[in-house]
Amino acid sequence: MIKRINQLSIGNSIFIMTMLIVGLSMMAFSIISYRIIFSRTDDLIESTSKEINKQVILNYESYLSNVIDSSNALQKYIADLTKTNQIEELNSVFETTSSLDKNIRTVALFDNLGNVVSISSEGVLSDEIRSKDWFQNAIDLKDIHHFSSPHIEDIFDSSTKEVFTISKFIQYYKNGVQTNGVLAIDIDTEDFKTLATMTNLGTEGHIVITDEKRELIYSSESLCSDDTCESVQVMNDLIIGGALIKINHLNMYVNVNTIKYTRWNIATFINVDEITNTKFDMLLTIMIVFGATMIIIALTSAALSKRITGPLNKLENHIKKIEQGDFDSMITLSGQYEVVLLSQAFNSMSEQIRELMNRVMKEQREKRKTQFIALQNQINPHFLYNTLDSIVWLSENKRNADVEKAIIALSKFFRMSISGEDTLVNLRDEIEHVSNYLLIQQIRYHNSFHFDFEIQEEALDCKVLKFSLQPLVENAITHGLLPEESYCHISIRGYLKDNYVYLEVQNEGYGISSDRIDEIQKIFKGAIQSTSIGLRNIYQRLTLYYGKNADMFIESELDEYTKVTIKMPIDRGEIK
Amino acid sequence: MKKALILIMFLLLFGCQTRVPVIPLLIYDMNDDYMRDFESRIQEANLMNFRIETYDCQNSQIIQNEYLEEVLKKDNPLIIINPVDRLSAHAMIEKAKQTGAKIIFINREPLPEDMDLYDSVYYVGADAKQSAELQAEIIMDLFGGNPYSLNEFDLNSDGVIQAVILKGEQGHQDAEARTKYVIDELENEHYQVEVLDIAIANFDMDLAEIAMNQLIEEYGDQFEVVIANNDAMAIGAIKTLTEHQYFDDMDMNGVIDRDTEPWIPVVGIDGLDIAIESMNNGYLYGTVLNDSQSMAEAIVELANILLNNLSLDDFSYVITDSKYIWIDYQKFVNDSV
Repeated sequence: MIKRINQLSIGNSIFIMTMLIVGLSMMAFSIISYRIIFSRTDDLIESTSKEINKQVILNYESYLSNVIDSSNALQKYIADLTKTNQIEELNSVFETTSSLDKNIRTVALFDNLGNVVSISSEGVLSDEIRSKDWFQNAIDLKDIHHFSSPHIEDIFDSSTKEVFTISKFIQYYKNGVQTNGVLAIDIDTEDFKTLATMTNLGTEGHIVITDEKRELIYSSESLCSDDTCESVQVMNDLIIGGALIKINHLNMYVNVNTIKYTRWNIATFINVDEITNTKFDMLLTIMIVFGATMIIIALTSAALSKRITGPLNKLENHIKKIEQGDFDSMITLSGQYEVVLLSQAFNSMSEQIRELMNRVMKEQREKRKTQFIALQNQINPHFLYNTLDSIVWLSENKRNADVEKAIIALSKFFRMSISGEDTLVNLRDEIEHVSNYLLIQQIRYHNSFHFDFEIQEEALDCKVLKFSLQPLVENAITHGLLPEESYCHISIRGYLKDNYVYLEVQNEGYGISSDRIDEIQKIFKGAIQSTSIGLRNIYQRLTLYYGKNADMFIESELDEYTKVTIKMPIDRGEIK
Repeated sequence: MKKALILIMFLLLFGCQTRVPVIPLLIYDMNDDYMRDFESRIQEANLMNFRIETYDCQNSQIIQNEYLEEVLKKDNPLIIINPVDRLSAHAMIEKAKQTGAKIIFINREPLPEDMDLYDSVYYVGADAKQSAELQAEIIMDLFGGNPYSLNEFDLNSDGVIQAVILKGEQGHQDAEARTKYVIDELENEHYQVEVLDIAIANFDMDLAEIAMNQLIEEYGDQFEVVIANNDAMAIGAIKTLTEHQYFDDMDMNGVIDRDTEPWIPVVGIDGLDIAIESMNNGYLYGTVLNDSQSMAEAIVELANILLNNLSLDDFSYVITDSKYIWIDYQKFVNDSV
């Protein structure tokens, strides 16, 4: 792993590290803010829902407490009035009570057998009062008010009104004797139901009321009509308390509580879909911000790493160039300050290297020059010896005029030879030099050869290697002159062709075989050691000076001629 | 160094775990004098290795339900509840059953059928009926102990005790029981009782003052005894009675001398400090001591047993029906004044 990290490029390291740090911190930030916002939203939902639930319960409690207050007041009247046997009076109290409170439909007092003692309104009474649940419950559990489920009023046979009955065991006096009975109050369910719609619980928000056996008493939602409905199940799971649930794909906050005075449970189902959706939107926003930030960071860090690594890559390419020997080009980098500094340092380094190399090259050239001069000097004793030999011969034959001519030519020849250390001379000077030489040689060989010059006018001012022509002529004389024949012709030609100066020296004679040509060429190229120095010397000097641009070759036709040509680049004298 | 670090971490963890257990105590209303007094008795009685944390339900069953939900969420294994509405106890019992928390109800008794919903539910309290019977005994003693020959306290000498009753909240279990059984007991003992009026004063001192005013207006010259469902109402009644010179501290010594100064018998229930003080000053005739000290001790002992899963066989109090711990009331009359 660490190895892999070490192998990463700077750019990738910067990129990965930046993404890692920013990604992790952004993630932490997102999670924290998400959780804070969520818990706040949840708290808000919970507290709001609880407030609404409380309000709904308070509505019901105040509604029911009115009924219980009425009941308590009635109990006192019943005790008081039956004691003094004022049953008529009691009837009117009951009537007044039911007329004052429009919710109270009927008030009735029954004895413990279910016979009516007093009742608020006329009607055909049911003869099965004793078997009614509300009656039995009151007898069974004496000290509390019993609240029945909504039902069609059953005190009377013919009623169609829906009521719930509040029943309570009481003691009253029958003919001065305390006796047991049941007070029943029938409450119209209309207001009870209106209460449920008074609070806005949102779409499909509803109220469900169950009794102590957790059986459905009332639901404001028509979908929930029996104990098996989802809302009742939820209620029975919770028993008391609040929870966020889903009913019919809607987010609801349910609060289950008890209603005071009764044994009822009440649940408010409040639609919190909108708030929950806000939560989702918030999550989405956080994710978008997270994503956008990551993209921006990715782009920025990529740009930054490119700013650093781009110039470094350029530098790397530049170094490769230098590896290949190009010290001349300079590198200018823009970008990160440190990289710019680096490139400047690199430039001054490569400049120093170049200077060092130039110095080495110069030294090398000096060395070569010394070698060159030494080679050049090799010619002279050889020639001087031969010439002086010829002059001795002329003088022995008393050809004084020829001696004079020869000595003048020799002196001119040497003057040129010793004039300066220039490597190059104009072809014109080289031609003159060769003329002097030929004069000397003609004297030496008793005019046994002729020569002619065919030089292009344009070629005359070209620079050629000093003393390059003379050895060729010398070679032509040495190998071209035949002892039997008294006459030989040497042609010297100079012309320009294809940016090269060509100098040809051709002599008539036997010519040489092509095998011999190969051998000679090997000799002057130094492949075969030989004592013959003339041609090899020229070839070495040519290649030393011009490199591969210069060449020398031999053509020959047996019994016809031998021609030696040298070729060198045109140089009109502008060189340093 | 590493060892020290581990030790510190261990201590921190261990320190957190060994924090004393907390038992929530849900009081129906801390504005109730009796309950406030009772709560502090419970706290004082707690010498155990747990802390009792009191929640004031402000006389709202909704708030009590919220607190219950909250403490159950904290996984409290035991909760002491003084219910706001005893009819709502069934929901609280079922809720606790859901999490397996045990409940000790105090002061207000849930319906027996609700108590049967769950095994681990207990009630520590006094029997309202007993308090009424003891109150009746005080009255019987006052009138000479012979139902057929009442003493001088039968002012009109008709052989019938004329009484007014100050009743607690209508429908309140204790109010209903005390009101019913005090008369029942007297009648069972063959005393003739005429209840002139039952005034409802919600166990409240101030309401009792007002109610007494109306009773005086209506039956000012008829009642021979004032029966209050609790001491607070008795004290409130005494205030009004004093204003109307039923009590007259003629020598202004702060004490009613029953032999020389006018007074009328008022009996209460609970044995509040102010009631004892009033009694010592010759005003209140008698009260029935609701032995809240024993009750508090019983609650703490039971809590300790339930919290630590100890055997109920070692419990110092009698358990009836394996759920009920009844603490006896005591008559308290100061005859020495």
